[in-house]
Amino acid sequence: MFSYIVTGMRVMWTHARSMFMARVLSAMLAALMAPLSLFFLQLAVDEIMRNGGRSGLLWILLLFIILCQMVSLFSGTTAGYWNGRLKRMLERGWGKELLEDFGKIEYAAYEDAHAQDVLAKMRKTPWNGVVSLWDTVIQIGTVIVMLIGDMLLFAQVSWALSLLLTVFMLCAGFFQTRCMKVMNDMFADRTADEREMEYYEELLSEKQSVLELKVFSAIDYIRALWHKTNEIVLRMRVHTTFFALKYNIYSSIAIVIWILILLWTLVDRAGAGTITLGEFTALIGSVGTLLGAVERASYLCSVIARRSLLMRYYEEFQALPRVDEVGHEEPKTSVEDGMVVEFQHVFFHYPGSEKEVLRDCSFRIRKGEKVALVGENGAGKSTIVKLLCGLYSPVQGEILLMGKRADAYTPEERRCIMSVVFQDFGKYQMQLRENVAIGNLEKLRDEEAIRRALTAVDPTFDTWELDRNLGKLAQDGVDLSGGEWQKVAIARALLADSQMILLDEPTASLDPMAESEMYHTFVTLLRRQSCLMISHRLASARMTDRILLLQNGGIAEEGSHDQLLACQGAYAAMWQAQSQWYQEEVDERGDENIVME
Amino acid sequence: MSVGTKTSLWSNLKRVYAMVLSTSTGAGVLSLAYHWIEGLFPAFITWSTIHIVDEAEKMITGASHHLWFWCACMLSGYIVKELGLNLYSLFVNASVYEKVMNVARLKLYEKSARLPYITFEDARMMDKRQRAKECVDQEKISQIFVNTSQFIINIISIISIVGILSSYHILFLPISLISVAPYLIVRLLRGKEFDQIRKKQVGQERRKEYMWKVLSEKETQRELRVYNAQTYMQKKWQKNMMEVQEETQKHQRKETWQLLGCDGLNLLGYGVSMGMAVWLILQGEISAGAFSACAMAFLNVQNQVKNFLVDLGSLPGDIYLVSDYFDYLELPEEEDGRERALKPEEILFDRVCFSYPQAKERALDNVSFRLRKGEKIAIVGENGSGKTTLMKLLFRLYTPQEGKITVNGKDLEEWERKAYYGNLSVIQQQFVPYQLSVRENVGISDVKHLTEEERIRQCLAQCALQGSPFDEIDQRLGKRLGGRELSYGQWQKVAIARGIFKNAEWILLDEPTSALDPMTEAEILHQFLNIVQDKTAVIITHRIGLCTRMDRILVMRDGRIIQEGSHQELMAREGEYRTMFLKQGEWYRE
Repeated sequence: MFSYIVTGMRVMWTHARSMFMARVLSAMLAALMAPLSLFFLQLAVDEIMRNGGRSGLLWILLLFIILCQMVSLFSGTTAGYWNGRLKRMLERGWGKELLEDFGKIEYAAYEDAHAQDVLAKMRKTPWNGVVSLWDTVIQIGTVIVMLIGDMLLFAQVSWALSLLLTVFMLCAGFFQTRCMKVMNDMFADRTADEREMEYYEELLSEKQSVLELKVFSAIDYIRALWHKTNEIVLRMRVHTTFFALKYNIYSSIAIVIWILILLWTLVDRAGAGTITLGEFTALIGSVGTLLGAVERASYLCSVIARRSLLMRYYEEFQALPRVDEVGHEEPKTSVEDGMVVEFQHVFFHYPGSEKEVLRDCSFRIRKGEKVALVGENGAGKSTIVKLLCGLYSPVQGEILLMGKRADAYTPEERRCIMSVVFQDFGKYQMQLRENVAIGNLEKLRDEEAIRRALTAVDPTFDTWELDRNLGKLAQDGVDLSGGEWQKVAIARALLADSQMILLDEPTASLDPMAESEMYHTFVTLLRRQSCLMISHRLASARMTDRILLLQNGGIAEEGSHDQLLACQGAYAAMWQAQSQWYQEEVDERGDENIVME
Repeated sequence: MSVGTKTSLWSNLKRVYAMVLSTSTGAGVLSLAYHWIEGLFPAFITWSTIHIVDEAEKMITGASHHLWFWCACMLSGYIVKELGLNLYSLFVNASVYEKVMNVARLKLYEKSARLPYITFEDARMMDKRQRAKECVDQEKISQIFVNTSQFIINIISIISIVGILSSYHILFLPISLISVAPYLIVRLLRGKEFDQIRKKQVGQERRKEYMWKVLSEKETQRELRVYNAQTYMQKKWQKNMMEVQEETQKHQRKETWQLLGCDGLNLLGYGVSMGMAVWLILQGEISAGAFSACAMAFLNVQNQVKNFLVDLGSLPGDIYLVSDYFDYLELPEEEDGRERALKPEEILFDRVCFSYPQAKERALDNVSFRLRKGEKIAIVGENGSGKTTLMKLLFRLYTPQEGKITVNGKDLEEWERKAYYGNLSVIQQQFVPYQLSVRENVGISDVKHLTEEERIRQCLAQCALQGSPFDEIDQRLGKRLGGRELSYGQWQKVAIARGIFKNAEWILLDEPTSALDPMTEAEILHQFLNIVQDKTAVIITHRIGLCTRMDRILVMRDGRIIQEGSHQELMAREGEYRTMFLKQGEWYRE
């Protein structure tokens, strides 16, 4: 935990040094004010006792007391301002750094379950977290400073009392911290039971499940499951609360004993006449403020561990592997010319997984060629797309783009070769112009080119204002339907004007016929460019020049639609299975085939 | 504050108190009682401090017989307070927070399930529910109860301290008031200006947050990499961020100066009251004990007033969330009919019109058709033509705005839902992957027969689901709660097994999505065909192959039924169906 606090400080120190120091100093100064004003009160009372306060010193002491109050009031108010400044400075400096990191981290991290956790944590405005962590540290610091001040106050009367004060306050603080930690942990670590309850709550409140549960009359059943789990959770929580109370009681006992000792000593000293009335008053007066401070400190101690967790995530975030900027190896050139893509004996498995997704996978795509990639769910089609985009590198084998090793290109060169429409393409809540131009930012101001890309996909885009805001973010924004967003995404890929376009099933929200039509327009639209498309609907695959069938991690069949049908292999079976539904007689034989498999 | 919001403030407070006091009466009352103790405590300490200091003065200068007594008195005060505090935190944590919030949570979800299904389509209602959920997640109900009952502490302690002080000298009454007056004045002065500034900034801030999201999330990050557009987005974020920051900075600086001004006023109040205390002691009007006690008491009173005002300030925002919660609970629930005796023989749609909330166009427009027991019907049409809406009306989930749906000649609204649903089963396109046991996944469609393992196994076998993990009938499925994860195709088959486990006469099937590969898809469609063989079935599909096996086909477009008839009939005439068929054939003809 300590090292995380230091990491947090390093972040602050790098990006907001002056503000950080101002915050710490003003807090420490303010912390001294409570014991100091008690000290002045002590002097004032003594002054009154000595000569009835008629010397004028009393008024000066009064002024000091008011000054103390002023410092602590002002420091409290400005602390909020410092914290705000700190957050802003961190957002400017650290936030920018983090964003750049997000862009540089290897894509694998975005798909790895643990790294995803780390990324999610860093995504949630972490500067607030750092400031709140250090705010906690500073506040604990102020309590310690205040305690030291009080110790000095007590030391005037007796060193032993001063020492006892420390011991008992530490005891009380320790017990309270324990108690709060038990309670906090209970709320922080959601148990399996709580996750279960949460799931039942979702079932009872989500559209799809409510429909089913209503028709099945099973709402009461789910509610009963919730109740059963809830009872366990509640019992556990009440039990924990009782358990935590134990520490609270210890803490109370420590406090009461300490007050007892204090009062005893004070009365004893007063009887012996070895204490002034001022000292007596100041010490009695310190009890209230001390108790409040200890309570606050133990709360802070109980949360600091959790607040410092953010820094653990930050350290892990920093440790995530980064992408190498530019290819450094000698580009290897292909023997054959005119190839846009060449997979040479590619082997691939995802990091942290044993399962080989691609095993000795080789294929080529020529310039201007339209190719379809088909295969079962999980055969590795999307993996090929990710490899082509450079999001992953092959474990073994080579991928050549335009005859050179894929990793020899800079991102910009790569963009000129490959553009993609993913299944979950981006729906940017920005202008229509920007939405399209993200595919090729050089053309952001080239209205004609953007317009051309849009109308190529759908002529009705002709009338659309390019500066129109899309999505719900802007007040004047128009939200598009699923199909319209899709068309914008395709226009984006077209504007990129790359050698090749990849289509990773971007048509999931269309019915089969609409998809076929969309792909048909697409294939006819692209003349010069190559295209690799993925779809489960084989009517779409049929329009391409060549079909690749992916099976067991490699290309099992390859050829035109007619060639593949003629050789009666897996593709033919797939075609048969799917096309039967679009014909008048459903083949009963197909049924048996499936049962046999 | 207008009169309307004031009444809602009170009525909502009443609702909060009613809810807390009814779900955990004992703890609620005890915690209220404890607030009296805590409220009186500062006054008690002031009072005993005065006495102790005065007695100590006597003891130091001569002799005192009462110092011990007063010390014991103070000590027992602390003991009582610590004891009360411990008990209080126990009651508040275990009962006011835990129990009340649990009940509140369940009420919310039960309500969601009981609302008319159309609520899910109403964006405003969903917003309301979202806020109601926030209210529960942030434990607002308990918080408001605890915070407002803290007011008791503040008020009692202010009054009692001032009372004690004034009993020593009547001038303390105005003096104390002077020390707190600035807080009240300042609160009036500052008003609502800040809220307005914040509101103005919300739009820009949301844009900034959106950019951050785009740059840090998987899907968009992937695309931006491919298009090499990260730098553009980063710059956009930075520009937006700087704008927001500049504004915030300006606003915060202004706010801080104002707050410092307030502090100044408070300081003035404190100074004046302390000065008067000094003056009084110089006049010999009060004792040293009273003087030192009031030096501490003034600060205490100021703090109490400050806390009170801060809590009061946050109350309207909290109440707003809470009112959404209670309003949501009071939404009208779906109505139920009473007819339950008959089995449906015939369902008739008579010129049914339906549109979604806030939608301009009708989702269903003048739809009429008849379904008889034993028939098999296919509904075809493009995405968005109204097929799913039709299905939901058939399930009585929506109520038609015009026209009527009758079952056996009786308006569907008059049927008791449970009795009606007893005859229906469904296999949805977007089926639910229940993170429950295999048994429950299949048997949830008919929970009365959940114990019939044999039949569950039969249904699984019928859907070609055998072997692990389906052999262990109580194995949990789904990774979310730590069960066995299935592939998409397997989940789809489980949904089919579920649909047939409920042995209903009528079944409604919605074709699976494009996410299935051709072989799995074919397998599932064949299962569909098997299921409908001896049932009354309505099937939503795009595929002619399924249509040919049906008795009748409804062709939908733009919310209307544009054609109706058997496959042969529809093929015989020109029209949408024939065109569709030919087009499909074109793509798929060998």
